[in-house]
This record gives sequence, C-alpha cells and structure tokens, in this order.
Amino acid sequence: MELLETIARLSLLLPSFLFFLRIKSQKRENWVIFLFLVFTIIQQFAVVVAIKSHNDHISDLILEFNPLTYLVFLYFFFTNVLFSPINKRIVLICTITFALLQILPLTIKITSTLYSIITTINTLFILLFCLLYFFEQIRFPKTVFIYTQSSFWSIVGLLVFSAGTFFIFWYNTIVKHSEIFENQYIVIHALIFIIRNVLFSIAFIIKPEKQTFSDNQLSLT
Amino acid sequence: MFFLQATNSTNVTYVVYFGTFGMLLLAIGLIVFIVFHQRKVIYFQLRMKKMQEEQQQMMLQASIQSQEEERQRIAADLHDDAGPLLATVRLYLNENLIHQDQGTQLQSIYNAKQIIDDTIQLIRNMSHSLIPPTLKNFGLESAVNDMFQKINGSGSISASARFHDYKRRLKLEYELSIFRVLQELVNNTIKHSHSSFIHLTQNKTDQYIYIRMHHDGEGLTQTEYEKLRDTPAGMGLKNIYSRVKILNSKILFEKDPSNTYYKVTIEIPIDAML
Repeated sequence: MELLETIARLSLLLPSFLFFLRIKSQKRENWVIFLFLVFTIIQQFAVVVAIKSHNDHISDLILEFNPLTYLVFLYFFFTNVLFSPINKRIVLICTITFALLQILPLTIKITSTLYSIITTINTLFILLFCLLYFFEQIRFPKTVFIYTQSSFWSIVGLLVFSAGTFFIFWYNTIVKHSEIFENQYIVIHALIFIIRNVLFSIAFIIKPEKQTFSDNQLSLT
Repeated sequence: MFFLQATNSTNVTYVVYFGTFGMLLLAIGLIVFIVFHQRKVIYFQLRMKKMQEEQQQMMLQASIQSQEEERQRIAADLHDDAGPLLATVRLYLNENLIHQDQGTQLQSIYNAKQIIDDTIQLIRNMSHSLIPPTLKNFGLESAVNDMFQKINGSGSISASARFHDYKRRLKLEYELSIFRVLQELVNNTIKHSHSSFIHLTQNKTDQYIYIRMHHDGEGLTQTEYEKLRDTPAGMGLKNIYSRVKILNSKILFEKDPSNTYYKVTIEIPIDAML
C-alpha cells in the first residue's frame, strides 16, 4: 500500500516535468493546473512529514482545507476555459457556497454524515463544472476536435478523479477505523490519482490542432 | 439512504467498488458521447461547407458560361451583320467612284448612306440588348411594360403588369438585375408553361419591395426550382439564383392553393438598393 501511495505521489512529478518542456506555449488554464500541482506536491510533502513526525493534528488540518483549496484552483481553471458569462457566474456561486459550507464545521459541531454530504457537494460541484464545459462544447461547437485541446484533457482528468473518488470520499468520514475500507481507499485513491496526473500530462504536452477553416464559414443559418 | 446506511464493512466494500466503477463508467460514457457528438457536428459542418463550395462553383461556372454566350452572340452579330454591311459600304465607296459619272456617284453615296444607317440601327439594337434604353431612361416599370407590350404584340399570350408603389427608382444596376430576372422568368414561362396569361404586380412595405408574377400554365414549386437549379442543365435558373443572391433578395416559387396558377415572388430589401 505504501508503495502504491508513493508511486501516486511521485506521479505528480510527471505533469510538472512535462509542463516545463513546453512552458512557452502553455495556456493560462494549464498554468492554473500547474500551480495546483505545485500546491499538491507541497501539501503531500507536508502531510508525509507530519505523519512521519506523528503530528496528526497538522496533517488533519492540511487535509481539512484540501477540498476548499482544490475548489479555489478549479474556480480559476474553469473561469479560463468557460466563455459563457452565465456559466462563469454559476462557477463563482458554487465556489462561494462551498467555501461557506467548508467554514460550517469550524463554527458548529456537525455529524460525520453531514461532513460526508459536504464532501459530496464538493464533488458534485466539480462534476457540474465539467458538465458546464461539455455543455458549452456542444452548444458552441468549435472547428477543431475537442480532444486536440489541452483543456479537454485537464477536464477529463478532473472528471475521472471526481467520479472515481466520489464514493471513497463519501464513506471516508462515515467509516472510521476500518482497515478494509482504509486499504480500499488507498488503492482507489492512488490509482485514480495516477490516472488524473497522466491525463494532466497529456494536457500539458498536447499541441493544439490548427483550425481547418474559419468560424464564420461555418454559419449554418 | 442506502448509501448512508451501508456502514457495515462488507456492504461498504461492495458499495465503494461498484459505486466507483459505476461513476467511472458514467464519466467515461459522458466523455465518449461528447467526443463523438462533437466529431459528428464537425463532419456535418465540413460537409455543409463542401456543398456550399460546390454550389458556388456551379454558380461561377454558370455566370462565366452566360458571359461567354453573351460575348459569342455579340461577336456573331458583329461578324455576321455589321461586318458584311461595312464591307458593302467599302465596295460602294472604292477609289473607282471618282472615275464614274455623277449619277452613279450619287447613287453609290446614297446606297452607302442607307447601309451605314442600317449598321447604326444594328449596333443600336445590339446596345439595347445589353441594356434596354427604356430601363436606363425611364426605370423598371417602363421597361417591364415595354417588354410586356412586345409580348402582347405576338398575340399568343396576354401579359400585364401593375406597379402599385414604385415612385422612387432603385439604382440602375439593381434595376437591371431585377429586369434580367424577370426577363428570364417570362422567357421560361413563354417557353415551357403553355400559359394564356402572365400578370406581374409590384408592392412595397417599409423594408421590402415585392414583385410577384402569376401565370396559369405549368410552373415550378420551390423544391422543383432548387432541384433543377442544381442540375447542369438549369442554366437560366442558376442565373436567376445568382442575380437574386447578388441583390441580397429571396425568390419563392409556389403553386397557388387553388391549383389554378403558379406564382413567383421576389422579395427585395429596399435599404441596400437605394
């Protein structure tokens, strides 16, 4: 299990390295993902150090704010990839709502079930953002294939990660001190984490395909 | 609620594995759907673009062909009519004329003058066929009336026109285009419809001029027009289409619900024409 966790943590280095290979041609949304990866590396490093020094309080505090920081990065990412002002507003409202929900456990004592619901809401927000992106892609089709855009691979990464970790995050706070679940959590989380980082790597190295013809030639009206 | 209640270790294991698998399957399904849908849309757009290009190509060819035919007709008129006439004048006015008696000289000069007058008339007719003088000097209404008067003169078909509101003339080039479209429509009606009358009306709103032509023969519906226009044979219809497109107008071929006559309506935006 530890090996798998270590591999998962090391997999963060792959997209970071590939980002530097094509640093000049990286788009703004890729920079957001890269900064998020840097933040995750620092966070993982801090967690490992905290666990090694048996300082569970620090590691818990880091992990507690993890969903919020994750959502803040996603807010900047999605405001760059979405172009409809309404969708951008939805993303902003969801992020603020989640920030308020995140503060809730600090102010009042809540049950583990409610805590799970908050975590689930986070995942649902991310799924919603991904759906908004896909909705825009269908509504306003571009002239290049969707899989030739780096934002697509980043979003696939986020979507796979959110969908894959939905149930383990749901039960994370409900099922405590269960060795079977803990092992299950580590395996699923690590595998999904590696897949996400591979998908981010694709996003960083993909070269955008040139448009075969201009948008104004495509008017169907 | 089942998910919340499933706190038993075995149940949780199943729920987590199947739930994760299901969620991943849904996510992948969504991604695959988006990718295929977007591909389909792009291919559809490419096909549309190709079709548009083909249609434009056909229009261009029709336009070039019509220009070439016009040039050939002018060349033939000049070569076959004006050429021999001028050659005859040259014969009358050769250098031997001064050696002839005065009567013959006067006769030759008179004949030459007659032929030159004929040539002038011929060139004038050619010029009129390029742009009708009535249209140039008096406008579309007069040109249409003039055309219909000539048709009526043949006695085989009755043609009439009524312009309800055409006080302000359009630019000459637009009037000429509309006139050419009407000429083509009238020619087609005379050639193919076996109708007994043609009636043309003009109406105006704040934004559009409407020109409608009725006849009681065999005509075309919009679908038939679009189908024939895209065939290599539909040269005249292609010209109508390209002229209407240049005018930024619309043309509609329809059969009257009473099934007694066909009508063609041209909708011309006023703003761009004045």
